[in-house]
Amino acid sequence: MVVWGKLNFLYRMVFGQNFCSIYRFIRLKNTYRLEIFVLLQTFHSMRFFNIFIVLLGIARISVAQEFRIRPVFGPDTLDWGKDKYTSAKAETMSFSSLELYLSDFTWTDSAGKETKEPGRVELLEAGGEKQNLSIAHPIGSLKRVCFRFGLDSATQVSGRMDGDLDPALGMYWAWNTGYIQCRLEGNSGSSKGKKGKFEFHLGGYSSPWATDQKVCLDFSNPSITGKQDVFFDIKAMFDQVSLKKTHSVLIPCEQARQLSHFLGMGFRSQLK
Amino acid sequence: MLVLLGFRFSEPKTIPRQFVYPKSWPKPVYDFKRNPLTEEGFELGRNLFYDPILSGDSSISCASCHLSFTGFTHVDHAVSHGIEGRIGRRNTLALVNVAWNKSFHWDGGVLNLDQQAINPISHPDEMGSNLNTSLKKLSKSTRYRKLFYKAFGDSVPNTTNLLKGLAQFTVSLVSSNSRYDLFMVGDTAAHFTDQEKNGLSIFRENCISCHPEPLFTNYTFANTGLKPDSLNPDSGRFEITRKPEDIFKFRVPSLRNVAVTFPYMHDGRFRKLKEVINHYATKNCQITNSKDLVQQDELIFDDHQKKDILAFLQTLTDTKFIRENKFQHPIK
Repeated sequence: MVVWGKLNFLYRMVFGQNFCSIYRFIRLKNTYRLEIFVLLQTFHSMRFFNIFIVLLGIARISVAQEFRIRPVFGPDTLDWGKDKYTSAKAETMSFSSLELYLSDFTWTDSAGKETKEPGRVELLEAGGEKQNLSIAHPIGSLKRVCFRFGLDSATQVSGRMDGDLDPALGMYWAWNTGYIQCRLEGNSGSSKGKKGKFEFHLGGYSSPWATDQKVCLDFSNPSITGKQDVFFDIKAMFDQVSLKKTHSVLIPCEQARQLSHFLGMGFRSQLK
Repeated sequence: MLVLLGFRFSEPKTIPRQFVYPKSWPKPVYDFKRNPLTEEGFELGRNLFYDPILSGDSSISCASCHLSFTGFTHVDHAVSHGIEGRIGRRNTLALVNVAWNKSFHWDGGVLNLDQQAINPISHPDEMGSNLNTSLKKLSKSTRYRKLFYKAFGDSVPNTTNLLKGLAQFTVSLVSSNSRYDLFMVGDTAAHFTDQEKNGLSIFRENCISCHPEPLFTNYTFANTGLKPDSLNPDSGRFEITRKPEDIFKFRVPSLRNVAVTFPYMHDGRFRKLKEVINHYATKNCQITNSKDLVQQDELIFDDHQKKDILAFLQTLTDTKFIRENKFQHPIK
C-alpha cells in the first residue's frame, strides 16, 4: 500500500492527477467496496506535448453493504425531469435535481450492536450530472439507522473542507458561511418563477433557523446482504407549501427551517 | 526499480513557523492546531496572494485590493474593484491582525479565516472565478505543484490546501510595531509629543468602547449613524442575521494603520480621517452598539481636540509592518 502511495505521488508530481485505478482500489478498501477499474484516461504531460494513453478500462463490481436513498413522491419513484406529480395542494410539478447532506451516522445490526460514525458526511445527488444516492455502511444486517439530515453547527463552522465538504461542490454559501442542507429544483405551472422554475436551497445552522435534524429509521426485515433502501418522500414538503405563493427559498430563514423539517419527515423505511 | 524509486521519495519536511505577537495581547482566535504554520505553507500563501492566477481572467490578485504599503487595503478606492473593471459595493477592509477576528467582512458573514478567501475568488465583482476553475489553473502550473507539494505533501492543489495556504499568509499579517506600541512599552526612541499624548487621552475617554487597545476594535458591529446611501443600498449585518436590530450595522474595524488606509467607512464615503472625526463629533450622530441599542452621548470635540486625536491616530502607523520584506511580492 505504501508503495502504491509513493507511485501515485510520483505520478501526481509529473501529471498533476491521481494514478487512478490501483490507488483508488486501495483507498476504497476501507469503504467496503471492491472495485475493478478498466479506465480510459487522458492526461497531458507538462507543457511541451500532449499524450493520450489508454491506461485501463473500467468495470465496476459493487458488492457493498449499501444504504440507498430512493427519492419518491408519495408512492411513486421519482423520474427526473419527466413525470408530473401532484401535491395535496393540487399543484402539478416535475423535478430536475436533488442534493442533500446526511451526517453523523449510527448503524445498528440485528444483534443490537451499534456502530457510530460521528463526523462522517455524505453528499447525495440525483437528477443532475451526478447520480449518487448510495452510502456504504459497516453492518452486515441493518436493523436500525440514525443520521442527521444536514450538518450540525460545529461541522458548519469547523473549516473542514475535505471530501464532500469541499465548497467547490457548490453546496456552500460563501457570503453567509454555511452549507446548503438540501437543494431541490424543478418546474411547475403554478410557480411564478422564470419559466415555471422553483428552487429550494434550504440550510442554516444558527438559532433560531437551524435546519438540521435527527432521523432514525427501523427496518422490520433486515436484508442479509446489508443492502437497504430508504425512501425519501419529498411530497411531505409539497403538501405543505404552495408553489403559487413560494417558488424559491435561497437563504437561511424561518421558511427554510419549516420546509426542511417537512422534508425531514419524508424519510421512511417503507414505501407508503 | 519502481518500488525502489518509490521508497526514495518520502513526505517533504517542513520548517515550523512561529506566530509572533506581543505578550500583553490576548490569545489569537485562529486555531493554529488545524493549520500549523510552516515556512513552506506561508510561502505558498504569499505566492497565491500576489498571483492573479486565482481570478477568472488572470488579471486580479488578492494584492490588487490589499496592497502592503497601504496596510493591506486599497487606498484611494471607495469600494473594491474587480475583473474587467467591475465595481463592488463595499470598501476593502485592511488585512491586519486577522488572527484575532471572530468573523470576517463588513457584515461578519464568514466565521473562519480559512473559508474567507472563497468569497473574493468567487464573487463576480471581485476575482470572478470559482474554486474549480482556479484549482484547475493551479494544477497546470509546475511551480504551484511544487509549492503545494512542499507545503502540504500533495502536489495536486485542492480546496483545503489552497485556502489553508492563503490563510497561513494572511494570519501572519500582524501589525504590532507602530510608534504607539513602542511608546507603550517605554521605548525611548518612541517619543510622543504633547499633542499626541493629549490625543491619546481624548481617545481613551471617547473612543475605546468600540476601539479598545491594543487591537483597536471590539470585534462587534455598530450603526455609526451614517445616512444610508440610496444609490448603494446596504443594510450590513442585517443581511446575515435578518434581525431588525442589525440593520445598518457594520464591522467595527481596527484602527491600526488607519492613517494610511483611506478612504473610510464601509462604503468609503470619507476620504480624510478628519471627515471621520467630524462625523463622530456631530451632535446628531447616534451610535448604536451591537449588544443593545444605545444612543451614545454626542461626542463634541473642539478643533484642538480633533487635531490632537488625528495626531494620535498617526502614531498607529506601523512602517515596519508595511515594509516587511516577507509580506511583499515574492521574487520569482
